[in-house]
Amino acid sequence: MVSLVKLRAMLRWQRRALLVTLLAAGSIATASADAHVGSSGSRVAMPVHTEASGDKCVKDTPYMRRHHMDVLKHQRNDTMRKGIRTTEFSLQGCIDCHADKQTNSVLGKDGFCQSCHSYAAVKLDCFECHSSKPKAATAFRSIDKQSMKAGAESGLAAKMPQEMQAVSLEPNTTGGASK
Amino acid sequence: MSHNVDKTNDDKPSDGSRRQFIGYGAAMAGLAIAPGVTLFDLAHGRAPEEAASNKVRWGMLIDTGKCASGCNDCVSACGKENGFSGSRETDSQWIRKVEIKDLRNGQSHSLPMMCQHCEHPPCVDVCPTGASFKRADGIVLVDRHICIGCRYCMMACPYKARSFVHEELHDQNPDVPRGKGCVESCTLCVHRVDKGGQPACAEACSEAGHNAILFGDLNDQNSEISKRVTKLATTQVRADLGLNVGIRYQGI
Amino acid sequence: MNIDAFRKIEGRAFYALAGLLGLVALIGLGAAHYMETHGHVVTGMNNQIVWGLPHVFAIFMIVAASGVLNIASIGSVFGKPVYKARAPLSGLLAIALLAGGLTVLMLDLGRPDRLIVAMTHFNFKSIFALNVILYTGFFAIVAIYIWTMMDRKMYAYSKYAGFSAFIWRLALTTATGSIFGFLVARQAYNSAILAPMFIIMSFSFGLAVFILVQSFMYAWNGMKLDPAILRRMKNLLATFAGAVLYFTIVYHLTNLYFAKQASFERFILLDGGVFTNLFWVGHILIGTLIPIGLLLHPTIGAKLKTVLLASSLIILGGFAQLYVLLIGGQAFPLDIFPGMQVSSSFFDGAIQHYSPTLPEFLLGLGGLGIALLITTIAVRVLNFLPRDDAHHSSKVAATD
Repeated sequence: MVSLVKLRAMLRWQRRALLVTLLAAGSIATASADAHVGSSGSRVAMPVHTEASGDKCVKDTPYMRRHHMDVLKHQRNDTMRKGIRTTEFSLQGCIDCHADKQTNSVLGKDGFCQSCHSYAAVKLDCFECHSSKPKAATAFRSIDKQSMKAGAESGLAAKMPQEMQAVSLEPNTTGGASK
Repeated sequence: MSHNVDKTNDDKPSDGSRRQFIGYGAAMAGLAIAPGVTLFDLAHGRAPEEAASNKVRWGMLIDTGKCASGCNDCVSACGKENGFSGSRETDSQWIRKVEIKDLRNGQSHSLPMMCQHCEHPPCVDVCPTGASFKRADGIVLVDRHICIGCRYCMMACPYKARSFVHEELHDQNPDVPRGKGCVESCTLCVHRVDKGGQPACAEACSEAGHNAILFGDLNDQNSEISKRVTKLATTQVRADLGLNVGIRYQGI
Repeated sequence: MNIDAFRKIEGRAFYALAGLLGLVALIGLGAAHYMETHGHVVTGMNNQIVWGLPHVFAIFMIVAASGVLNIASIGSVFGKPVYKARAPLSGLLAIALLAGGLTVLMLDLGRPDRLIVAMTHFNFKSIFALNVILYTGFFAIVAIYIWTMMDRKMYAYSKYAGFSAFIWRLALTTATGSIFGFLVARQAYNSAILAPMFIIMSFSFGLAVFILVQSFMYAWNGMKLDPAILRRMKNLLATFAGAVLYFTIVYHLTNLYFAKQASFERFILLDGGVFTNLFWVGHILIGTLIPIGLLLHPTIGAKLKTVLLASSLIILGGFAQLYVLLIGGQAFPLDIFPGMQVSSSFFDGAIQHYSPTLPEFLLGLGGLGIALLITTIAVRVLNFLPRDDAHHSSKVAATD
């Protein structure tokens, strides 16, 4: 329909305009880049090393740095598809130790997961669904409290974690309460 | 879970046995106080490293005769356990009370309706990524890691069991991850069942004394639910579809 | 404006058109972004009406995409030279419409960021997953088909490419219809007739879209379509619209025969409010009877303006038909307890009302914009304009 020569001729002023815009955008970008140099010499905040609870992680740090995503992915399939709930690589296990002591979360500016992921610019998808807080810090009761109420098996009582022993004895009614 | 931040780990041995005694005592007291406890089929909690197996088939038997029209105990318990509430058109409802009335004779019933955990789930057949799946022990779940939110399973479910999360969620129950853009439905409280518990709805119904919901292993001939299903006439909702569901109803 | 005056501003007119379509597409993308960040709560969709207006647009475009390839198939598979000249444009429109439709579909997902997951995890029992494979393959096959037609060295293979494209698009449209046909749960679907009905709908919508685009291109270039070709196409369009009516009648008649479907049919045909109106006025009257009447009229039937009007009405009727099928099918409650009156907090037993919101409409329009933008740029850059005399004489010698 339109020959290439004509096309090139038609686009002459458009090409110049595009070139000028690109140059302008590029110079603005480089200029503004230098405006945010922090004390560390880079624009992005370095990840914060927060002290986790417990004595050590389930695997050493270099291994975790490189493989934590594979470990989590494998574990999620095991738990989701097969119902295997071993605790070594469970996400709740990670959060229980690594949640920040003040905010009780692994997210937030200095959160354990968030600060490294922000630095590496890798989107964190997990916490769209998963809670970033340890179970004990949420409003949800642990399953073990329920088993205690209903479990007549002595075996169940023996498996109780220590802190659950102090639970109250009145029946745990959820019914009758308003929505 | 032993990895919890547990400040009492450095107890002296004598404290341990005293606590054990209190534990036993509390369990006995709990037994005495909660009369409906026998409705809970003792599903010996599976070891954490053991996978779910098809030797077990989880199911529920709902006696609609014991289900009162205004009662919402199961619905509230489900919402509280899984972290949602509300009945706007966009709110998730994993279980709901349905009032049915036969127009010919005025006979009316009330019953809870939730995911029926079919043996041949249409939602599993239609899911393009395989996120909707049936676990070996019969519980139908949504793998929210690979759910793309296409809502085809919601179109396919004959029981309208599935809900779509229409907005961003916060403060989810760590045992029940759920998030915006994914489809979800009753999980038979799989996080409880795997540890030997029963679904929140069944537990709430029995604790309140109604005893309309019985949970258990349909494959275990000695379980209460198996005995009842063999002895009494029970129905599946929309049995004509041939889905062989795990939720049976009595009295409709 | 006469053609000489238009030719002077043609360059600027092209940029204006492309700019406008680009703007529509951008607004659609913006609407999709808004829906994704806030969640579907900003739409009119809910747990009862799970597929809304974006799906109506998307399914129309996907169905029209496979139908518009029909023109090329009549040329390559059935050997009609007049249609052979139009085959490249038909192929281009097929790709453009499919791209637009799929964009809307993918952006309406709850998690559009998981597209990679959708492309790497397949449940082959799902007709939806098969559709994903068929859509992707369609792009490839039609691209190859266009190449065989436009590259002189490859022209000998165009027959085989055309045949493959024909079979592939039949599978694709069958699968699209089966998305609904395979659903046992809902009274509006679970029928084998939906697959062939979608095929016939694709013939009708596709040809209507093709006629409109072709006429626009001819007007832009100051060319006139041979009246004999126009006559052929308008008769074909009337036939296809009549065939769609046939399938609609069979679908509803069969449903009316089953006692268990009676209340659903009553809802669609009688007291469904907006759905009943859209069915009778939108689909039957505006989308079928008036266009067929116009097209088969002895005096005005062969005029270009009449054909353009009829094509537009068929497209509008197509949207109405899909709206009734898709949304009417969801608005009618599931029959979980047959014979009983049902009520619950989850809106069991109640007719669900759906009010589309602006983001949904803009997303659907954006898809149309993308399809037309692709077409506009492609016809500018490559030789898609059907030239009857040149093609007829030179290609007739080169082929059978």
